[in-house]
Amino acid sequence: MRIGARFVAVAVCAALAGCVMAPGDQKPVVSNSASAAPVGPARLITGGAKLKSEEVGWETSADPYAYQDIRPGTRPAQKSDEAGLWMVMDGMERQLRTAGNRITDPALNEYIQGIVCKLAGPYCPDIRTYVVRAPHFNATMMGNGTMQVWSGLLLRCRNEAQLATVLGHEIGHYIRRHSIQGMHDRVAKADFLIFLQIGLAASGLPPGVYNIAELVAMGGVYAFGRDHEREADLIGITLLARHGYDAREAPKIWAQLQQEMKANKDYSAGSLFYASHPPQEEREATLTRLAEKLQPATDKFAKNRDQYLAAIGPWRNGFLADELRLGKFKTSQELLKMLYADGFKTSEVRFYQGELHRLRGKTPKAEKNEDLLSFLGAKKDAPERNDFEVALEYYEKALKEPDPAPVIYRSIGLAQQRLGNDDAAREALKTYLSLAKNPKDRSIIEFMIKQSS
Amino acid sequence: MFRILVLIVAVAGLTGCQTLNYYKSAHLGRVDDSRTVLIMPPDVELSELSAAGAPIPKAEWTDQAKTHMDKALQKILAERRAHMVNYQRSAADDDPDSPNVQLIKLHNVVGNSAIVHHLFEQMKLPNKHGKFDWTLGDGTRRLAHQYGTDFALFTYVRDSYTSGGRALAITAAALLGVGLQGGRQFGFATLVDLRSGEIVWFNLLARGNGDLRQYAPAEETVRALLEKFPS
Repeated sequence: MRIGARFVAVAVCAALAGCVMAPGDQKPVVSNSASAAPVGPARLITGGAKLKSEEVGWETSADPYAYQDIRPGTRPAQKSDEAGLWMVMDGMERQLRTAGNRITDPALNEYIQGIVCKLAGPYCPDIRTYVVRAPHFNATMMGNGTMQVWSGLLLRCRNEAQLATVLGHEIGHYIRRHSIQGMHDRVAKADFLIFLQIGLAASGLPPGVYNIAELVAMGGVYAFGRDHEREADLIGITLLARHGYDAREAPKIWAQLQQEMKANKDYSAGSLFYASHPPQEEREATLTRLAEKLQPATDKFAKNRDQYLAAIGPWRNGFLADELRLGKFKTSQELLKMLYADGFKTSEVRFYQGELHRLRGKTPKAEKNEDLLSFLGAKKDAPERNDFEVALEYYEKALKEPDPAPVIYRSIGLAQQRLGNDDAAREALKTYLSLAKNPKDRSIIEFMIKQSS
Repeated sequence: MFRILVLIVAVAGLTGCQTLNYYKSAHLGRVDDSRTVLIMPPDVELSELSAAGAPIPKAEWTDQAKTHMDKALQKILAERRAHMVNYQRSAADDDPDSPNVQLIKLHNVVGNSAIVHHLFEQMKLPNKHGKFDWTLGDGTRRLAHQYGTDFALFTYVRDSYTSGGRALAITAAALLGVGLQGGRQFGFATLVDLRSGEIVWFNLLARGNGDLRQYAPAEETVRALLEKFPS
């Protein structure tokens, strides 16, 4: 009797789960789970590149929702869940359009949208690109075609081919409708869980069963998301190769990022189980393999380094200043080193090296507070020398370079002030004001000069 | 956006039907011919709760709700002897520096602060001394000139409905003595005096019933949203 009751409860639960796992308004279509290659119109722009899963080198995900690619120039039907998602995203896009950290400079926007259009082909009018001043390595795509390109990405890419890798990846998310797929997956798994929970409660089975099921479902949601990233990587590099870019630049962005991250000894890749993206090592290895398949090893493919540097050039210093303000000095130091090796202007590297020391502002005396610091969990990493003194040495070197920027004097003034050298600080700040053209910070600097005299 | 979500969750936790009303004046307008209210673009989203309670946004319902709300607003304001003028979105609204866009954003922040600091006992600001005293500043005069109105009405509504799956989950859980929540209406409306920027009337709606998808119940919802609106 008791076993019977349990069975009924479990069966009812299973039936309910089966019913809610099927997304309501999606017509079942033939599943494409056998291949990770883009299907449908995605082939319009990827040139029908169809790579088998063993070539790609990862396990392809089952695609239980069997979404066809979105067609160029279309919006989802108003009754669909996807239209609801687009409605919310349209609202977010309106906010983004007028966001304070958006870069509206026409030249930079045209340059990036131009690359997007080249890669996206017939999807070009459907994808709206917003350049956002945010100092992290990232770009995002919303389901309605709103793409964000963050300034931290522009700072880190070395050429147009690397930027195009990321843009192509985001275009892949759009074409494959990953937003709605992800939403349906999360909803289906959560719905399954609630009925499982009710069923288990009714059957009197131990609650531990539910905890395991929840863990499996959560892991499944993240795994599904990682498969989307892999699919987007594949579309990205396919577009890159198809448009004559050097596909070997694609894995490099992940190698560069790893080098930067590993400069921080405390760096950990986090839990594999809950990761939103595949590990960088995996992405680098897979893209390397794909690049070899897609292109012969010659120099004839485009990197467009000059075009890239011309477009990003006027912004790079500002982006680097944003990066330093994050206070992640170990990784910023590595980034600066890499940019220097890549040919970043010596005068600027010297100045920003000085800025790094000035902003870090550590002194050997900090050891006094070590008991407190260790109590708070902070590591002992007091430098051998006062950061402000080191900063001043770099500023002096930067001043010896041709055509030094007036802002160097401001930094000298601020560093001298921190060292207690008021006269030297005042002198440098005055020089800054005399050389800078309409500085926005004139009144605060004048105030500082007055205060210290 | 995040704050609003937190707020919805917090308010959803309050029991039963809840309306909170703050107003400075029970009467609109100084002279009869200036009783015109500028209707700011309503921020409305309708959704359906999945079995587990996740809101699935519904575009078609939202379109219907906007149409019904517009009609109901017109009717109710006419009863209060006020005219309405609709805010017109233009290309200028895509410019981050547009004063109108900045004003709408400012209203979001001030409106949310007002809710947080009046609704929750622990969050009450001592220096307000219990008074409802919030303003957008006199930057609102620009809107008054542009539209020739004295007041602007801002509305925000998030309205969710119980899906078949959710109803099943609620029923099944109820058999086990567990209460799960169904669809809810959460919204607020503010009336701003455009000459001073002050919020002269404010109303919060949070309840477990109401329907914006059909005209008749939508009119009832708008009436509840505009409860004690100055006449």
